[in-house]
Amino acid sequence: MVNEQVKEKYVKIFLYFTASFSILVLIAIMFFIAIKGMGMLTVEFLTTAPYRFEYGGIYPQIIGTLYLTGVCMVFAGPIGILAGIYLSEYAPVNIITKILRFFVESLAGVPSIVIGLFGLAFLVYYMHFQISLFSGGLALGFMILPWTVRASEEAIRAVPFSYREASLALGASKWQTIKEVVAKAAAPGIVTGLLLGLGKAIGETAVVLLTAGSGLESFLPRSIFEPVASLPVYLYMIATQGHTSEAYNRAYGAALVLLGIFLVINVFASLLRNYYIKKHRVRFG
Amino acid sequence: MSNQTRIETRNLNLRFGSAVVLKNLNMSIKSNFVTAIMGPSGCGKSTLIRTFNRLNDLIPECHIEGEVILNGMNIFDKKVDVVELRKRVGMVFQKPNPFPKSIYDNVAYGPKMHGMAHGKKLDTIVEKSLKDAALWAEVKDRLRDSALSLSGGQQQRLCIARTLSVQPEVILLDEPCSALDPAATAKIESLMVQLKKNYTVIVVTHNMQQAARVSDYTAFLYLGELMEYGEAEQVFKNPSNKLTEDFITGRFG
Amino acid sequence: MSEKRLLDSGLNDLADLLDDMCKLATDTVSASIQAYLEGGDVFIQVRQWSDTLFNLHTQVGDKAIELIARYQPVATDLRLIKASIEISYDLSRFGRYAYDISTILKKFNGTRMRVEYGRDVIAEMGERTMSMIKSSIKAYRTKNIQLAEKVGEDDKEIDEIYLNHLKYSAENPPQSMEQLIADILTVRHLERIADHAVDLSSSVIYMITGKPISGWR
Repeated sequence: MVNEQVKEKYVKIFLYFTASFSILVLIAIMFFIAIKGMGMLTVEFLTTAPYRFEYGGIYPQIIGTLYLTGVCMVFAGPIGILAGIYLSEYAPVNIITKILRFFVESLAGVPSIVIGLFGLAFLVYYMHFQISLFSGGLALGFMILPWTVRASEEAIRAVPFSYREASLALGASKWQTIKEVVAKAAAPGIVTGLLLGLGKAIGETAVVLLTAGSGLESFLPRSIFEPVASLPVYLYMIATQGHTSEAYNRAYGAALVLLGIFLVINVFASLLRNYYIKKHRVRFG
Repeated sequence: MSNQTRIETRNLNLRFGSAVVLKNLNMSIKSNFVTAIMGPSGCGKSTLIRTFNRLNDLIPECHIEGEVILNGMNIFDKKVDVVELRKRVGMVFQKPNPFPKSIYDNVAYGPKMHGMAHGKKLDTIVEKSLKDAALWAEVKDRLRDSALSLSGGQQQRLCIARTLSVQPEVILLDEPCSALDPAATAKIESLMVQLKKNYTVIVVTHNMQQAARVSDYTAFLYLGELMEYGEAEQVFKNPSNKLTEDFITGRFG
Repeated sequence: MSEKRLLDSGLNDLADLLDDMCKLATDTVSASIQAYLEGGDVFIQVRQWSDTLFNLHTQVGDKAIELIARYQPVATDLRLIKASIEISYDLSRFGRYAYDISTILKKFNGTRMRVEYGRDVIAEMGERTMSMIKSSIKAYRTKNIQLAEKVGEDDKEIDEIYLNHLKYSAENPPQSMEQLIADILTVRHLERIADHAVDLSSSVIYMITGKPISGWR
């Protein structure tokens, strides 16, 4: 009996350490980046353009990342939502639908570098969209499409059938029901899903590397078909091809900003969830 | 009080796939009365009222023969617009299911979807519906609050108000009190009796005492067949069918 | 199909009360009639039995409303309960009239007065009345409609005997005023007992069929 109690104690301690280890890794990364990059966070760094490779700031990179994410969401958002509506409300239960779903899911597993290559070959060259904001945004959209579709479908499925029944019993049509009741009820879940997909897109390097630009642009694109800078690619370039402390410092600075944006989005997504939960007591799935 | 028939079923037969659920049902539901349909679980009573507003259309394996006549027209006729039918025959469900919207928006939903009104006229409809559902006094100062902040009994009355807002002729209630506590149940029961002044009320219940309390006419369904149908006083004092007798005296079901 | 319901044990209690009353009522009426004809001091006994019958009647009423409040009975059960209340009243009236009969002689000169006048009529009415009591109780116990209806028929004969005797008494009064008064009162009480036996049978028919009997009285 005493043996069991001692065992319990040890197991507990062991599990505690493994959990702590995971958290520690995250904290270590954040800490490391913060310490190394903190010094670079000056107004100048954030508002000026790169100058002669390892000098200057990262303003176009920050804006470029935001632009790319914007284009990506404009593409993947609506398509994801509408596809989610189709799959959960209209798709018949047959082999064709199963195949459709299988492909959407498989897309999620395609390595991002492969998507980047596809973007390069198809969007940049074949379609002549060139290395541009458009190509990059679209390619990013391809990448996160499975997530937006899945998030939308699940959010819509989670809407209780009783809402649909009540709406139909009042004489509303199927589309009215979807538009006015189901979609609105699923909105919190959909938005949260979109935000998480957005988070994925923000930090994506391989795709953007091959389709959007060199990362070192010192100007903002004047049109959607011009190359655009981005933080991940900039970071990659600076870190691999820079040798000076100036370069490395800037890499950490960029990393910190990227991390910062990512955290802000996650926190915002959380707050949004809580707001919706409080407002309408909506439960998610 | 006139003895008009509002809904009449003629040789109604219904099956889900190969399972027969309703057999040769012939009944006339009288206008402006409360008709209760009672029976043991699985006897087909919910299926029956879902036929009245054609909610069974949503189930692909559902096959219906026979007629259901509402105001002289067979509701299964090809010319009948289901959307219009559901405006005239409203339904309140077992578990209160208000939309995750404000109280106002819940009640305004129906009229909006049908393009019946907007603006001030919509406000009037919402107020009247909430009054008729005996809920107005409790919510008039917080119409913009979420419907889900109401108690279970209030939510169910909200669902009734929502149904009333499209001005139906018939109100179907599918075990409306099963999920409610006794006090809320009592409120809904007296509401049902009040509503019969302006509507035809059909309530499905497995609670035999509730059927005894609220109904003017009582139907007893057993395994999809109509075993007894008559004035409530008669059915509960001296039923003509032995099966009915056994059911209401608690010998089975 | 007949698993025991909560209501059933209550209905059994009710039936037990009525059974006690049936036995008691029969004995009480029988004793008082016999004492009237043969003499014998049963006054205190009959009074006791009559009080007991009244208490039992109250108990039946209380039990009945308890069952209604707790179990919301309907149909056959409900009619049974209503009939039980009415039958218990009739049984208690049997006791009451038996008591009334037994006080008659006591009021005059104890039990020493020998009843002469109207003996035969009283004896016959007494027999018929006892028979009606027993039949109506049997009809209740065995749920027998035909027997209940027969009691209604029997009452017609009692009524005739009663009215004829009144007429006879008016035309051929006895010497003793006491004898006359005792005689009239007793036939009157017996006739009332018979009426209550009819009421009892009527309740039995209502209990079984749900249809009240009208036009018997």
